[in-house]
Amino acid sequence: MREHIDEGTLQSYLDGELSHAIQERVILHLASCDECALMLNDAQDELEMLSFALEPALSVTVPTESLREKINLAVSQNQQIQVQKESRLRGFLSALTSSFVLKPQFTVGFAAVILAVLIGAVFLFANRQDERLAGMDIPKIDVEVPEITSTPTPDPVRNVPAKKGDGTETTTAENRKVRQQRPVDKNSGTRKTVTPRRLEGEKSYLEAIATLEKAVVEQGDLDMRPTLRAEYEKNLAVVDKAINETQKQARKNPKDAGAVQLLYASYQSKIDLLNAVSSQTQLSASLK
Amino acid sequence: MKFLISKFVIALLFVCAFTSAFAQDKEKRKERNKDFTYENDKDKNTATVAATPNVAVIFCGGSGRIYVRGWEKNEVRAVSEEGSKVKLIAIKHNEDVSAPASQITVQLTEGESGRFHFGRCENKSNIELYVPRGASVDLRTREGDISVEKIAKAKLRSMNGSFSIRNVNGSVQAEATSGDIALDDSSGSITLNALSGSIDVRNVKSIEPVDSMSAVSLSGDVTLENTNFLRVEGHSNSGDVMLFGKLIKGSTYSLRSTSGDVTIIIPAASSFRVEAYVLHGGEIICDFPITKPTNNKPLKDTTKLVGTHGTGDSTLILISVSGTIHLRKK
Repeated sequence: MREHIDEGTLQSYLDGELSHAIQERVILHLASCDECALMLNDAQDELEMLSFALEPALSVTVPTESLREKINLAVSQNQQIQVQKESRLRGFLSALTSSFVLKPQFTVGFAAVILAVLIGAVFLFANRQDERLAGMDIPKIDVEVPEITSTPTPDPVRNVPAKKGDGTETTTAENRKVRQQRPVDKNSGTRKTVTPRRLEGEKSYLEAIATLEKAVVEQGDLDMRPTLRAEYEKNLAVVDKAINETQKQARKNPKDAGAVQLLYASYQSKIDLLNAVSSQTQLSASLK
Repeated sequence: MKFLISKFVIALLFVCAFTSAFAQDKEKRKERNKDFTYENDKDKNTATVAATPNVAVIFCGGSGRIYVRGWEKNEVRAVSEEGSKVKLIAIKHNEDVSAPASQITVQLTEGESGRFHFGRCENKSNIELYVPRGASVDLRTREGDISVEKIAKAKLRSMNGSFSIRNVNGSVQAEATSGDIALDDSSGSITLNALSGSIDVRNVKSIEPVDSMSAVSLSGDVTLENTNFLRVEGHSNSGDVMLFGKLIKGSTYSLRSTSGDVTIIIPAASSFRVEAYVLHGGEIICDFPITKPTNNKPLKDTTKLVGTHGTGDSTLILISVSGTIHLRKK
């Protein structure tokens, strides 16, 4: 039996890759073997079909060496540009950071700037605190004044006849001094002064006086001639002195109706004075 | 066509009516304004306006004197002096232009310009105002004296002028900063305040039971004589307070001085209840025998005097912080 040519050998025959001797034996065989000749025709047909389909790809040429060099040059150039950009950025950053480097000539300047900023911040913060506090309504707290504990008020002054050495009688007044008992702070060992309790009705007088005084102050500088101003100041001194004296008497003897009347009369005098001043100021303003 | 003509006629009538009404109103306003301005006599600088019997007259002066006299006419006449001109601005509360004025504001020209400046009180000339007997006056002045007589109500204020008030029967309200106040033969509610001047009140009485009399001086003396009120107050801060005359039954006299004396001089037959207080060191001198309450201090106590003389028809409250209180028989 004759052996047929295998498909690989035929493919090599078509590619021209067989040696000379094998090629002659393949040709001699194909001349006598119809079946192998038929396989050879099929193989040639496939090759032609593939060549036609792959012709565009097969026509691309392989890059040459010059082209490779050009490409390499371009890549290398690109890499150099990148390096330059990075160096510029670094340069800028380094320049920037160099400003914060504490050099001797900049130390004082930096310190002054920082100090000024700190002072300004503290001042601003303090102002804001004041504004915040000013806007707040501080509630009034009524403090109850403690009562003085004192010895009871003695009998009023009475005349006690006494005998002198020569036998004559003289009338002397026997005064019992009222000691005002002061509470002693055991912890500190010092004496405390306690504000005396206000008399009944005294509060309204004091409030009226405070209101009028405030109004007079708010009205500003009074439009009075110097002689009139002196008159006003003189009267104010008189009435303030009277208030001081009568207050002492009344606080010493709160149950003494006379002392209380004198105190209230002094308060009323001050109210009259402040009313008169306030009225005069209004009149002066209306005549301008 | 007829329709258009009729429309035109109606429109024309409307325009005529409107114009006529506007013109009349303008005339009326002119008339009213004419009444509100002064009427000037040719020979004198005077102005006269018809007024209601109880007209209110307002004037603000600078440094000239102000004389106000009540008269029988229902007119307000203003007479200025020294070459100045006077203007009366009248207010009428009804549409009748011939109605008398119920409120009049008096203005004087200012200096040589001859122009009126409303609201300013800078004139230097004197002025005389003649007003109805029932009129009320509201006068303010910077430096001038004010004299008021025979009217119903007076409200006077001066920074540096004195007041002389007589025969004012209604109410008196006077406030002198640096001047004296003298009030005579008047009636009604009285309120007098003097900052540095003295106050003299004589022969005054109330009209209604609720009327009161108050005289307060800070630096000057207060003298009250023959006062007929249920409530009399006389106060002085550094001056003396004096009361003369008969005490009225049921009246309360409150006399107070801070550093001056309080002196009462009354008939021997007076009947009163007294509460007198002086601070320690002061003195109470009483000519009248006083009946004291059983729980009162001994007679020699010179700080307080509380008691009754006679049947106690009147009440005397006398206070002197650092002066002396005198109760003397007339």
